[in-house]
Amino acid sequence: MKKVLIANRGEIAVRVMRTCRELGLATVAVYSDADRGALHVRTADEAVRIGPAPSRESYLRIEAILAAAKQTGADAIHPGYGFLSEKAEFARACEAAGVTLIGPPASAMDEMGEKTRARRAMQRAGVPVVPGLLEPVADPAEALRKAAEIGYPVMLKAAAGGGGKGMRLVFKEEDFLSAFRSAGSEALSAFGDGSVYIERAVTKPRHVEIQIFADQHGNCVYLGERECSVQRRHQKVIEETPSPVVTKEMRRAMGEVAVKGALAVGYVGAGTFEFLVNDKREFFFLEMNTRLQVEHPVTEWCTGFDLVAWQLRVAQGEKLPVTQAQIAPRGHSIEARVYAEDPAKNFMPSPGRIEDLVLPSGPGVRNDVGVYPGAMVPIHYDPMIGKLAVWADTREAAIARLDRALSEYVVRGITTNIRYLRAILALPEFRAGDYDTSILGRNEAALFAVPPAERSDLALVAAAVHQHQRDDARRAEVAAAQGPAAASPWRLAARPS
Amino acid sequence: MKKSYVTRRGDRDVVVEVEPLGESRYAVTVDGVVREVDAVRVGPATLSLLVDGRSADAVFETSGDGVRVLLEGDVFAFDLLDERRRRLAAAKGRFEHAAGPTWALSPMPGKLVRVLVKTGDAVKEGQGLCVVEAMKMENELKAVRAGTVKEVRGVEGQPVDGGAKLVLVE
Repeated sequence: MKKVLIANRGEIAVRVMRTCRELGLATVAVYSDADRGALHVRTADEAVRIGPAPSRESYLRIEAILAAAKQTGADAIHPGYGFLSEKAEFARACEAAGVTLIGPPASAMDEMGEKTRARRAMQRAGVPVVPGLLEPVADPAEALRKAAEIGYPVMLKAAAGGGGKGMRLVFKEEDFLSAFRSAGSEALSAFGDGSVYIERAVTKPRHVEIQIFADQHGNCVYLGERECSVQRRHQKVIEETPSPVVTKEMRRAMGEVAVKGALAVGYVGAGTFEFLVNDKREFFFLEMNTRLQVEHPVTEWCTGFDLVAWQLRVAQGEKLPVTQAQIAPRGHSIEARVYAEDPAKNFMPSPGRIEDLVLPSGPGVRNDVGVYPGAMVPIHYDPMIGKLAVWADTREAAIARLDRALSEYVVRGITTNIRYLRAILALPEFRAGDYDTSILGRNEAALFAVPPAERSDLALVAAAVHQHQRDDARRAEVAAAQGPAAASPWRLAARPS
Repeated sequence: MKKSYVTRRGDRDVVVEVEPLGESRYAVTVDGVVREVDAVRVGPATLSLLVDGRSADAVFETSGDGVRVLLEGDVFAFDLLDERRRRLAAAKGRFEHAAGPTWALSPMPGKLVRVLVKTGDAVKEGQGLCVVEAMKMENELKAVRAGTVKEVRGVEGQPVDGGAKLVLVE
């Protein structure tokens, strides 16, 4: 492997390129018309345009990406997350084109990519699953009947999905059909596949996932868990490891089940087993993500490993660098996702130009961003502009460090959720580690609380000084434009009498 | 030159006086309380402030008469009106009526996914009018008040501009 094409954009493309560079691998970016000036294009050694702005005409076009690989002589493709990363069809096309896809084999993606099939495969492998349908359902009337059989509340999920797109929690029968329709259309537009299946919704669920890693020689390890229960509309917002509820015994049980499941489908590379954990600390398999996760940095912080380096090495046939016994995660890591969105306007995405960007730094702080001062955040893609991940020796210290780092974060030009992130960190139940996936929904009042009066007074003083300086500048401009010219003797002389 | 501004805070008007003291120093009076401010420009839109010794960075965004201040992670918005702008605003306000027809506007460039109402429909306050998708998320535009749908513009599945008029409710 000499040259890697990264079939993605944004922070993950930049993050993969960084490790490639450290390993002496050349990098190729692909970009749509909206991304010519994007950071991933500037970071890569080479870059190829693959089409117009909409993902379906660029980042989701398999033939355009393979053509770019051929044109540049790239011998491997890293898919990042999202886009084509979990499409078995893409894995097959890479194989046919003689390019190494950095990910699991197409057969494992087939087993795990389609969620109902994954549930069946995991059930066979002895992994506990949530009660529900084993097949997607297309007919609304039939879906309604099945939902009644499973029992409310039910969760609707896109069979091809991930990242919360096409998901709906339905409490009552009368809300079912409209939720079913909108989940289907959202799934169709996000994944090109509108099929939806139904599961019983687990009450007071926590979302805990296990990172696994397998090589091509039948070795597989787990790298601890990530607690991802801080979600809004099924989109993760804050992730941490270790999870405040996972005990040593539970970690081993979940890890071993995940390894068993991965080996059962012949898995290779980085993968994540998502589990729902209920209030009795029972865990159920939810789905497997057959790719690198957005939140992988927290695992990297605590284990000290570079998971992208592992991916690149495993793809070249190397064995895993460590055994299970050598994996001993240390300390606590938390990640916050910074989104270009306006929490005060129902989290409306806020695309546009980033006028100013100050990233936090200092001890134990890591930034993964896909933007820079002056960059455009296009309307066509996910609104996440970056991830901020911190490490400290205890959970309490990690929370304090993340809050400190967020206080240094400045984004001007677009609106972000930074203030909202800090409000989450301040929630008593977050601080206590005693929360489930409903934490954000239940705490809206606290999350949108008004800032302290002292700060708002300070802001008013700042605004007044700023306004005064603006007025002064404007007066000076007007004077410069009119004053000398009007008073000029030449102009006076030229004036018709 | 000393200037005086009026801004709305909560339910009352507050007077703020700014008097330059030379260099980067100002005396700022809010509600009769004088504070000594040292404001040094440290970026194109960033001031480093010392307010009676308290240190904070403030980042500004301006549009029209409005100023948005980003300070210690919180965003504050103020309309600071001097005497002239205040008279203009007051005059303008007299010609604007609170009720009347209201367009649901596309909040940003995106795609019109679904129109949920048709001309002549009676709608309740908060009822969904149409769905606009942008950045992979669907956003439902809701009626700001009860009324009747007078006009629907745009075609399902077609792109819409930011600020595009989509549904008129009267």
